[in-house]
Amino acid sequence: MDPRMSGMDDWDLVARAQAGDMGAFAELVRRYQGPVAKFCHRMIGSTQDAEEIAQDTFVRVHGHLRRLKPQAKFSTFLFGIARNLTLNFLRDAKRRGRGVTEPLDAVSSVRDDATRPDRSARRHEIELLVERAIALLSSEHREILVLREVNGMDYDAIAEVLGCRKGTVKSRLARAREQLRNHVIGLGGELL
Amino acid sequence: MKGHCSIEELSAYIDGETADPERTAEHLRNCAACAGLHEQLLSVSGHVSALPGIQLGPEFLTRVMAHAAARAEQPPRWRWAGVRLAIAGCLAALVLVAAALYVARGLSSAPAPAKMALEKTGPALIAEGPSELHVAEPEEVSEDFESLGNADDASVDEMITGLSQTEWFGALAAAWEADVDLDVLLGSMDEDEAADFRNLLRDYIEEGQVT
Repeated sequence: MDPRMSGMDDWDLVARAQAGDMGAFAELVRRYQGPVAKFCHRMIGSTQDAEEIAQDTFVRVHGHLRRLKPQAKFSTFLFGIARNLTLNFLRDAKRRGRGVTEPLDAVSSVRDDATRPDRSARRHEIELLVERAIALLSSEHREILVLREVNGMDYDAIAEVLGCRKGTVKSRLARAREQLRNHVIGLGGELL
Repeated sequence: MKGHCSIEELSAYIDGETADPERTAEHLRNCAACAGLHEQLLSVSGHVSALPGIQLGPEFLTRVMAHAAARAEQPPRWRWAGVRLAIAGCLAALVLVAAALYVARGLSSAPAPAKMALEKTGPALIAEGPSELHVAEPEEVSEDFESLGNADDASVDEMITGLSQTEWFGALAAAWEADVDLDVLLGSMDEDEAADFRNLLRDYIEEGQVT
């Protein structure tokens, strides 16, 4: 890893990558692989599928490098692709009748609860409950909640990724939180 | 503040996006119902934020770079200039069919929607490369393309079916008062033309995701 690149602006790295510098592209991947994978994971639930979609996101970005222009934040473009791929995945999974967003990791983790200290088991129980509640949200509500709560984006950035107005982000996020609260209560409200 | 806070107001307050946070804070100090709801929203938000993240190993970067390099070495699946000619030929054929039907049926004038649809779709398809499609195309056409899905995951036949079901294509066909559909169109082409046309559709749909 070139230490000079770690301080470079995203679009400077893109420019170098466009010129054929694969090291610059690798730096972009290092910089965003965590946030993109987190987004995909919380949208889909399955770690393996999330990794594959995150990988595909970066491969597609690389494929489109020469057409990229610094018109907006690079992350907006990146998350736009990740979002499209996750929505396609969810749509295809639904078409195939496969349950989506079942937290596969959680299923195996439940078996470990017996060996966990009480506090840790309690925290894990809450995590499972919240994951199940997230899975019950519509993809529209899930994506906005994940972008805000998991990826920490502000309203302007979310609006850019989703291609909507800031006011829409505000109202949709409120509905998403309300739905999540209702699902959590429905699944075991005493945890609140 | 009279009454209670809306969910939207409380949600925005959590994110520091309210115009007058002091006013909301004052209300929450004096209204147990709103304070309780605020606590619940804050709690679920906090739980979502605290969920453990996915851990990627160093092999992730290796895989991405390998796939990216492999994809970059693949030859282009089609020659853009040739496909432009193909699509131009297809559209010209459609115009001829429409004109023939128009004359044969003795219509006084072509309906306005047909002209609009043709102006909106045909020239833009011919003139613009895939990277400019999203910008150049009217919003409804872009949305139609986006709605068709991922070219990697859907079969070409599914995409063809999807395209034939789009509003703009339907409007075009309906306005011509002909049973113009993509199967008929593809049937009128020879094998190479049909293959080029299918590839063009695939690439438009795939490129339509990049916005």
